Amino acid sequence: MADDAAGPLRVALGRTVDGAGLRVFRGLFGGLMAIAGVRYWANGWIDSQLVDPAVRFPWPGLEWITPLPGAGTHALFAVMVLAALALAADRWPRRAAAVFCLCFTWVELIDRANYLNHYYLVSLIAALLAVLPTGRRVPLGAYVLLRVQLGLVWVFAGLAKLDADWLLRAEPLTTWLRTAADWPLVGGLLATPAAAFAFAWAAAAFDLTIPFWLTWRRSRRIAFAIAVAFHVAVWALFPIGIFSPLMIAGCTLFFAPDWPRRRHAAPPATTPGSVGRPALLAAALWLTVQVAAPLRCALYPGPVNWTEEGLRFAWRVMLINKAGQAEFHITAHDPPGRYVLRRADDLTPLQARMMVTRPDLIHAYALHLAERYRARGHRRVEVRAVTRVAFNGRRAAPLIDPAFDLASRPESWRPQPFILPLPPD
Amino acid sequence: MSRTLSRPLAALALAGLAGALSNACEPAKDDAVAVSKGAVVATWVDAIAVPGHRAFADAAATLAGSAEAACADPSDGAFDGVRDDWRIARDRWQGLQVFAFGPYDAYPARLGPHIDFRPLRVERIEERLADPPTAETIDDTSAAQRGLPAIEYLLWAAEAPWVGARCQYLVAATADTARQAEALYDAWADGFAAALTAPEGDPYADTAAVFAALLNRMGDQVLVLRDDKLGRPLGNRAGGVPQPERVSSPFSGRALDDIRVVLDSLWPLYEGVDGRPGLAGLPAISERRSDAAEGGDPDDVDAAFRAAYAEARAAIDAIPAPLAVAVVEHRAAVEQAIAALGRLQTLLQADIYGLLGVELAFGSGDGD
Repeated sequence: MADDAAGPLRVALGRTVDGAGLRVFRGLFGGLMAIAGVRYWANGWIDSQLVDPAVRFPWPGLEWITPLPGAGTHALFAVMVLAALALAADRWPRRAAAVFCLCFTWVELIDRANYLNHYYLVSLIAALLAVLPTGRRVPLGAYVLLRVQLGLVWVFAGLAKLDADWLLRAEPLTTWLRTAADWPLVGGLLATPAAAFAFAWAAAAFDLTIPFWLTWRRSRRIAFAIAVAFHVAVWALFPIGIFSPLMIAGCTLFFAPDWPRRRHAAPPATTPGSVGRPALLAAALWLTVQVAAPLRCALYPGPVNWTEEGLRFAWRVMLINKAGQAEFHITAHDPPGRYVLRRADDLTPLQARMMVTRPDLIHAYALHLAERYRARGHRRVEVRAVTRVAFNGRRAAPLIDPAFDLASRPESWRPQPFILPLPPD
Repeated sequence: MSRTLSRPLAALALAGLAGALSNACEPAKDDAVAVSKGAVVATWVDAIAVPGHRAFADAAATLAGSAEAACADPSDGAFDGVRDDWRIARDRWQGLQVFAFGPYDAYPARLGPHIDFRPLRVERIEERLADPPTAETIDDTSAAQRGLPAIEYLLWAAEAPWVGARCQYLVAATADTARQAEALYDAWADGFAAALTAPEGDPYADTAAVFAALLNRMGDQVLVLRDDKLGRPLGNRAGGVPQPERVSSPFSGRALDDIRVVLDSLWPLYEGVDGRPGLAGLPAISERRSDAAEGGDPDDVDAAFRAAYAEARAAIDAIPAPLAVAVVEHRAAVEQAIAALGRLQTLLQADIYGLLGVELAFGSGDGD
């Protein structure tokens, strides 16, 4: 039965089409990643974000992923950039993508505080490019898988915007667009509530529908123009690094596979084919994970943008403006002692800013403090966090239960009882 | 999509849009002309920082002059005037702590630590009194043995009048501090102020980055008061054991005055000065002002800030002087001041940071 059901799909996806469009995307992706790697290096972020921090926030279970010793992390970046350049030049593209993916993902996983949605997207795309076929002719399924991957990013980003903060309060856009009030000509307009609402609703509509407009041949050109305008505007307004050019490059995957060569040479003939069962199964598994990961936030109580449980790997982009403070009250026993830490002196400014508003990082830091005080000779250590976090234009409120001993509970993916609910508006 | 489903969804979307538009069209609560971050930065720099550094340089010069005069004629009461001049210089210096960056700590000059370096090495100062520095040799003296803390030690650690080595050290140290203060003013007036009000990429990319940096320093000053000036002497980092020797200005017993001056220095930054706008003038804050009684509107951050500021000031005033004794004998009063300052810190670092989108401008990495 399964064979019968999957047969037409395997044939449809296995039909070989021109590989030129995929090659151009690889080139754009590789070029962008090379620029991103050089930019990261030039900004001094290899040292400030990866090498220098005395304390890291490793991903649970991945504590073994650390900066490489000596100049190793810089060397890793050099290899990463070379792999990206090889990908851009279409030299050994799958190997280059695999090497790039390994290097980039290693760097990405060194510290949770550095997590960005578009870093995750880069890892996913690189992983797909490492396994998808290359050559003059490729199965249509290669395009389809990448399109669906990008489509999921847009659609889940759009679904996340169907939220009262975004649609009815236009937050955090109202706050963020105000930062552009000093811009010449358009600054005054951008800072108005009307502009924030217009952007909010337009962005939600864009994210929810753009993959479909790009897929539909008749709307593709105008959709591409809108996508470019949208992502350029986002890039100009907000510090989101390579995300915008990456998504614009991704739009080209929705073009006809032979679009790069239309004016120069005849495309190779489309030929029938079939995707192997293992490949189809792997693709289905991949996409299942990609759909399940963003939906997992439904398993946690409370608004995800406040609790941040299930927030990562879910394409919930540009939805949160948080600022806050956290202090840690340490009660040590045997020998006794009471300590109050109001600044995380051993964190970098970036880590500290991330930590004070994210429950899992606050918890991880509390566990680190407990370890530190145990190392000083206290046999038992309790750590409580007193936090105040302002979220999307609201007045600051406690994020963590100040009575909860964070050192008593290990990190886990389960809902954390110490996260306080968002006070009602 | 079926009609049965599409009509309710369309109605829901329209209702949402209507609600959103009603929010968008809500009139501003303040008729004042919109104040920009650039205007606030200009106030902070041109109307507060630069004149403040001038005032400090003048006070340091006065201190140097009175020390030299008292040592030349060490009559009864001559050194009381020197101590008064030190207090004035100290207050003006404490009032500049929000601006203790840029020329303050930029290499190679590092002017700030030459004026105010902690911890003071008292034993080294005593050793140097055997062969005290002169105007010619003070540059070879470590930062831990010069500047305002060293002068404070020289003025208060022994009874006046002084002659000889102590006076020679005092004259050299005060003259050196006056020179450093003048250099610091020059650095602000001759370039750094312009780099803040008209940033061109180095050290700040734009006005938003300058604003974020200065606002961050405001919040950090409140944290310094809580954590360093009050918390450390209270023993917050020593298992709860009081550390009275950790108070600031320990020899003159002015730790609480230091705290008051720093807190007072935040007020013009918030309120503005000489008719120029401060933080309170920014639309994100001013538009939330409410006619409700104080505390009646939780969204009125301005009212909350004013209340928290007044509460923090009162709590500090309620600590019995000197602080070195209070951290042992009046711990509750110190803890209440820490808590009150905490509410002020929350207003700055959570509520106001959040309203102003300051996080976007820090520039130490990408977002999302």
